Amino acid sequence: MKAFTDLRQRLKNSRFWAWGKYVLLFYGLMMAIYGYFMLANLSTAPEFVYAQF
Amino acid sequence: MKKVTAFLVALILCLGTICGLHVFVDSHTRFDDHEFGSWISQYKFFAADRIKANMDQNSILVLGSSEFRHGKKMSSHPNNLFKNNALNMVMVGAGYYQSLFHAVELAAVEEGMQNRKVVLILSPQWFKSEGVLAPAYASRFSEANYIAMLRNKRISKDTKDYILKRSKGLLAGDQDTLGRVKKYEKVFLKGNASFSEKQYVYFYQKFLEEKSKISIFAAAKAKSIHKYDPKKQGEEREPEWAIYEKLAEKEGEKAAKGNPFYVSNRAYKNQILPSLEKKKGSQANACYSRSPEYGDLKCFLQLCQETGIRPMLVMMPFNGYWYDHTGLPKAERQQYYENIRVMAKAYGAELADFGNDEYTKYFFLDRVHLGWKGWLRVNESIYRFASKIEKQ
Repeated sequence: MKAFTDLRQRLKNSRFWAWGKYVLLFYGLMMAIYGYFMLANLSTAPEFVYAQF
Repeated sequence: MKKVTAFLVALILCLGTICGLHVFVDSHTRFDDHEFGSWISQYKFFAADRIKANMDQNSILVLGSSEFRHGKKMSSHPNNLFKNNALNMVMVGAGYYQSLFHAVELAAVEEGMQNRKVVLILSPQWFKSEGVLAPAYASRFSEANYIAMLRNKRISKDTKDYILKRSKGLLAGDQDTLGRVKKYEKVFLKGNASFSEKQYVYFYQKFLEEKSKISIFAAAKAKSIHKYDPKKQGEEREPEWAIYEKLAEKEGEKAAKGNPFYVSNRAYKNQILPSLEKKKGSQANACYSRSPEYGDLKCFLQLCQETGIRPMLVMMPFNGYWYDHTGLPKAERQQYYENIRVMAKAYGAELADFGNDEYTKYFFLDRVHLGWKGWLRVNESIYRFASKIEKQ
């Protein structure tokens, strides 16, 4: 528990981490947008329900 | 300032990841022949580049519709019958994928077809008087394949014009796609596009290519399609058709449990019995001899001629027992068969003619889909066509 609180304190005081978390945030957002465009069904066709003949 | 540099670093990392993914996916989309061939997925149908990359001399492109998805447990279904065979059927199609879609698909993949042969399984239901339904076509429309068709230099302007005209008409309900289709026409066919339109189309085309590549990779992973193993070789031996024939009879008899339509008893109970009264005589005035689908099929055959692809049409019959019940006149059915025969002859296409199998027991799994004997005979004709063995 102490190790965890120490780490938390060190991160809180770290200038690199303060900057790095923004990098991670922006990176995560960009990859999420990329993933959405790559994997989402972007078809604008009206819905068509398959029915057997 | 801190946030700006963080944004720029994130952007560089993101671009690096995207480039890495691009290279990785490029080298990881060669799949196991049979698993890929029998995989029925829109991701596959829309990724013409990946289809080309996964075809070799033993592959044959088989275009059809919903029959691929039905009866997968039957020993005569191609997934099972050709499981260990060297022949690899690359199936493309599901419900409502019809001649026009297949013409565009063929135009997009023909460059990668090493044996220069294609099979088109025709369902009589495609040839209803209205032809392919507009919402169905729109929902199955692949812009990437469409662009590939427009860019294919072997296809004549007349054929492209026909596809363009038909597509524009059928896409009227999807204005966004229609708008882009008109831009593609300007850029690739008419050559009168503005600079901004050219840039837009170039960017969008690249986006579609990347999207199809990433999505087929993700979908294949989700479906557990294995990667290509060069050591895995199928048997060159022809299946023992006579043995399969007996098996088909046995399996059909067991599944039908004596129902009067000779289809699976499950389909009989769930689909036929509930609508038996309602459907009786309902097709007395139905027309299958005049349909825009004939024009689409003609376009498909024309495209085959222009690209040097040898086509075989598999003419599925009407299910005689069911269509007698719905009252579809026999003359109308015969006219449909005749139309296809005439067209196949006019374009020099091979024809697997099953017009005489309307009343073959266990030919159908349900009202319209191929069953135990149906798939067996269709597979035999495809095997012989692909192996250049002439029927005696």
